[in-house]
Amino acid sequence: MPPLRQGKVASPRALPLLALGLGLGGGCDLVYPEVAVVNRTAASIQLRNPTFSGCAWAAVLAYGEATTLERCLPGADRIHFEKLEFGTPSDARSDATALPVWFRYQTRSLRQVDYGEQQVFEVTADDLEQDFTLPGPYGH
Amino acid sequence: MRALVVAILGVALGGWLPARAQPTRPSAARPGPRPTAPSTTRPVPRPPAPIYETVVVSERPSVRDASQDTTTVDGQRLRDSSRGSTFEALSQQTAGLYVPARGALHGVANGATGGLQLRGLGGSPNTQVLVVEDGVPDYQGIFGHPLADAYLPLLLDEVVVAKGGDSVLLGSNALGGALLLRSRWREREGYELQNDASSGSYATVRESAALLGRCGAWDVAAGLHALSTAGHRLGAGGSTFMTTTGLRYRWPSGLRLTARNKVVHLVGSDAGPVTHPYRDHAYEVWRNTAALQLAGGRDRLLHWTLTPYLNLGIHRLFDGFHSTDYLGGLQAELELRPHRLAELAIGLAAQRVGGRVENRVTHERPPVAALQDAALYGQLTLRPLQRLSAVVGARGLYSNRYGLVWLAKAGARWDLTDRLQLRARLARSFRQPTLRELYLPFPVANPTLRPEYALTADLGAAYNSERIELSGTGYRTAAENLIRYFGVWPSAEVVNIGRVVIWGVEGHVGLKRLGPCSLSLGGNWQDVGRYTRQNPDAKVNLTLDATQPLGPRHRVGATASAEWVHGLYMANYGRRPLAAVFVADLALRYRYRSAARGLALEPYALLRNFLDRRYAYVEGYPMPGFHALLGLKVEL
Repeated sequence: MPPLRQGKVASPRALPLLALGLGLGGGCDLVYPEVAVVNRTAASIQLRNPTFSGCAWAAVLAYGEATTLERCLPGADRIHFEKLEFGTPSDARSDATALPVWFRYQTRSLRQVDYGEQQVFEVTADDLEQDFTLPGPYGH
Repeated sequence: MRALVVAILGVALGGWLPARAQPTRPSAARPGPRPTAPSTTRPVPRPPAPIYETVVVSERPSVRDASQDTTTVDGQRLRDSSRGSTFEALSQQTAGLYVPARGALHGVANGATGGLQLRGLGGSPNTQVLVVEDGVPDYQGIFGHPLADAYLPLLLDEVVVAKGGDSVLLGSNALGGALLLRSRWREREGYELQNDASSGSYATVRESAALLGRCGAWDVAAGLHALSTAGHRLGAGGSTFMTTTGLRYRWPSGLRLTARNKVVHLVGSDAGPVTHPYRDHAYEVWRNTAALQLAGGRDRLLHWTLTPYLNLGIHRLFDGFHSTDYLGGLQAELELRPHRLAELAIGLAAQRVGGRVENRVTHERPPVAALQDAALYGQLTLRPLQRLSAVVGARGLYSNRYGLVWLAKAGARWDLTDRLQLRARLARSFRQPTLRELYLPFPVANPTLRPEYALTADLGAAYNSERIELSGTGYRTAAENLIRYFGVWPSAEVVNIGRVVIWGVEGHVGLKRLGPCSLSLGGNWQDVGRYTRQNPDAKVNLTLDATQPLGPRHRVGATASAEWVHGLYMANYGRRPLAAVFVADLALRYRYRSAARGLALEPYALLRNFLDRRYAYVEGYPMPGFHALLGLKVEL
């Protein structure tokens, strides 16, 4: 094999393969699905720190608000979040010294995303259930 | 073909410009007056043999118990592996060895993977399979397990997976077996430099460099490894940085003094379950392992070694946990052949493990009392017949906490023909509890824990010919006092459990040189009883190699490998089952070698999980889908 020369590196024949190599090398995470979550529950309900398929948003969503778009893992998952409902015992605003209690909830329905997709998932009041799925720590 | 090479070169070099050392002519790099052979094939006058040219003393074999069931993996195969870590690459070669993963890094603390399960013993963290690096036990003082991300294949000569336990020769922690790592040295005068740079998916950049040299009576072996990745999901990124340095001086009498030092820096985080990811569960680890070895002996009639070692580490976790730990010891061993039919190895070993722990947030400082022990051991190999070897051994170990412990083993190997052998072995091994299990309430500790014992029996046969390798082993382990964690904080407990029996069969078929192809198929099936957590029922590994020379300088090759794991559970008693794992990788290589220039170039592509399977070894920690790593190896 002759030594590589400058002109050979830039030859047109090599450019598609170079692009293929760049695509293989750097692009897998670029085709991950993009996901945003919208609070469509009720005006009295706020959602906090939603998570979905490897994504975690540090946000408090009032009714109608949405998270930013984030790249998540392809697959199926429920949307997990903390919920605060005003006017219920968890909203302890009558006692000035107590903090409101955010309970863990998740959607009852599974949401599916795949490579290259962009999805905006709405969380609605009729699709909620308490979330007891938080796995314990693994390992050491 | 040339265009493809150019493309891969462009990607590898464009993504990462390694700190390439200048190709140094050996004669220019070496100080001192001694002339040595250059690394090219040009004819040069051979210099007269210098006075320091010593008697050739072969490396001690890694396998020292002829009756033990072992798998020897060549270092080059580990370097060529498409798997993410050395432990995973070993798992691909040995069906009886299971190594879970969660991404590019194994990590430490909660969520970590990389624990070794060898024929049903090991665990997470792995404290029942000992890693021995150049004769030195390698584990963390407080935690009792090796750092899975801290092994560099670039400088490995070979790794022996020794199965069935061998605490007689290796001491505590070799309950289920051991990984015996042996580093390589250059055997001829001159220097060689190897550089492996790659980049790929998830902003992964990997750089490894090794320098091997021999100059007169001096040998040097140095390596550097750096890996940085963003990870396949939030929180899965991290970096490792490792340097290893070895220096050896050989006296004409056969005496050899070897100094080794390894530094590891590991930064990462626990990504958490995919349904509830963590953003900030970070860790940072610094470890330094230093060892000195003085070895003597001219031939197999007498050989002795004296090895002091010290392993230090600092661990920092996101929640304020901070620890410093150490493992230090001294080993002295004498091997001699008092009779042509007998070989004897006797040794003295002493070690101490200790450390200090605090939580810098809560200011907890649990007291930690160091463990120390001293042991005298011996192994006798008798060859009453030309084809029969019988091995017996015993170890008396005195622990400052557990008093006197007796361990023993016996085995035999019968070479029926040059190709067919039978083997049987019985070994009693043990492990003392780790300091973490005894003292650290994260999440729970129990100072009353007793040591674990295991009695392992195995019986096997092997057939080897030029083209075919067949082997099969049946094994049964009866273990007592195994230490297990139950429950979750705040009601968690760590206790000794009663008697556990594990039995299974492991087999391997190898077909070599079938034209340009060779094939390796290994399988393991085991019944682990009630303690099923991360202890799979069955595992199969398949590796198919194909290599085709294209003239004297060019070669192309491909390796397809696959792993299938069945019967995975996240809890004991068969609870929380996981879907079977099936994953396949593909490695493509092209190699150009010019002997005249002393140069080899090897661009390669690693296509991991090329079937884009969705799988997980650990619940909530899905592995990456299809991803790729493109790289270039340069050898000078």
